[in-house]
Amino acid sequence: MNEISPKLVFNAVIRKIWIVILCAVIGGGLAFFYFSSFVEPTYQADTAIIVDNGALTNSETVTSQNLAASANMLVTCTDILKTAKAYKLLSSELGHPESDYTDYQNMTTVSVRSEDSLIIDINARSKDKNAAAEVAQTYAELAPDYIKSVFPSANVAIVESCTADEARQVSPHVLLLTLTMAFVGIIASVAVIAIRAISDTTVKGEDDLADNYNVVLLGAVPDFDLVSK
Amino acid sequence: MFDKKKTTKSYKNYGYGYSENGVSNDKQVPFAVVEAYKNIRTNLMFLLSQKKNKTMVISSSIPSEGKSSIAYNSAVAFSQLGHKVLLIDADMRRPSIHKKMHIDNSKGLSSALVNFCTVEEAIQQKNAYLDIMTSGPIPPNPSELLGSGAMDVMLKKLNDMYEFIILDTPPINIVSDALILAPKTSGIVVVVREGICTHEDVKKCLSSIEFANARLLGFVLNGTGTKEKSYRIGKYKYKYDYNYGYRATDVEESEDKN
Repeated sequence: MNEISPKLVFNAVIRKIWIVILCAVIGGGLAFFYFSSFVEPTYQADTAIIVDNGALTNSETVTSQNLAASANMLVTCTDILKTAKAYKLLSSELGHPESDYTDYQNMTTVSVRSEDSLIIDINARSKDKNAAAEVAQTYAELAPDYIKSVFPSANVAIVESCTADEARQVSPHVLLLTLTMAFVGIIASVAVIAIRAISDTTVKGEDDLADNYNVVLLGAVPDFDLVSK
Repeated sequence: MFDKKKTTKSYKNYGYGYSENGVSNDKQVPFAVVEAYKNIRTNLMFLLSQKKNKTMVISSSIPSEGKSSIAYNSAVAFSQLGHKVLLIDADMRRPSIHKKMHIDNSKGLSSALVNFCTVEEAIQQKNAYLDIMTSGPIPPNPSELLGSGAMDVMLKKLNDMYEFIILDTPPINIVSDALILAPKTSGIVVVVREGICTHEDVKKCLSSIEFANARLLGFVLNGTGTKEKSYRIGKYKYKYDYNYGYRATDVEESEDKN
């Protein structure tokens, strides 16, 4: 096997650059075709509610204590919305038995938008765009009353609604997967070309002979077909 | 797909010299090929200039490196200078010269060595300066025949008749025929085919030559892929293009390899 030389590998790849490009096109093309044609998309509907402990909306001044108190309450409200009871309520509101609540539990995610935020994001994912939007929107509509049943002084309002048209495809990410597979094609082809170049121990020319042997080169006869062109 | 492999078939058209007219008159032969053989001829003449016995063995490491083509075309190149040349197909295992030349092989080297015919009867004239001795019928003991006293006697006789004798032999890494003949000659020329012969093959070949204490005249690189060639004289590097003949197109200083 040849000594591993970056220049040797680079030259080999440049000589076969068309193969690298071809593999990238094939990899990306196959990925695009597969993921856009055969993989069922998943949609996500996003809604959001704003929650404060009542001190912010009921007072004329906003203090840092009130903000902090509201922010702390948000975590609790998020946990409340994740309880089985809340999902059972959602299930029955959607016309399904309460025993189906685990399906909605798996479909939805409830989280505080950011550390100091007063917003809770409610997202729902489904293969059906309409179903995702319905679940997210229904849960956002239920959330204010449910939270108030636990925190009567809390103020809750929907800040973001979602319709079926607004539900977005989150899976598969066709562009990302296409680019990834194209990149994989490039890497794989470069690896094969590099391995073949490194493992190619044939005599490659006059310089190769001169570099390896202290023997006179009497002459070099060119390839007949090559020079005939 | 990932590598352009040269196969024996690519040499089907490697018919330079396998024509009635020879080197310089064959208009189908590219200039680059013609010049390459002239270069080989010149270098060999330099190497053998001080030798009384201008006999050389053409061999290679492995089969299908173009030994027979190199041997024949070199013989033609020598004959072009008006030298009396004899080409002997000493590959009595897979002879090919008679096939490529479409000549009779009923009498040749093997039959002359066992006195089935005379040396003169085994020789066929190609043109005024080039004669060919084919291998003859394939014997069961080619190595023994080549190493026999009869071979010594024949070569001594032929040396008096010809200025240059070229022997086409089997590959060194396969059989030892070339190494048996080498001490009887001025040396061995090893044909190396670019992109086919590996360094392991070449090293094994050189090792065998060294072990046999044979004289290595040099390499002939066959089937090169580049058109532009360069050669060094000391620290200076000249380039020339086969299409336009020799001309100094570029001069650059480079480190002396030696």
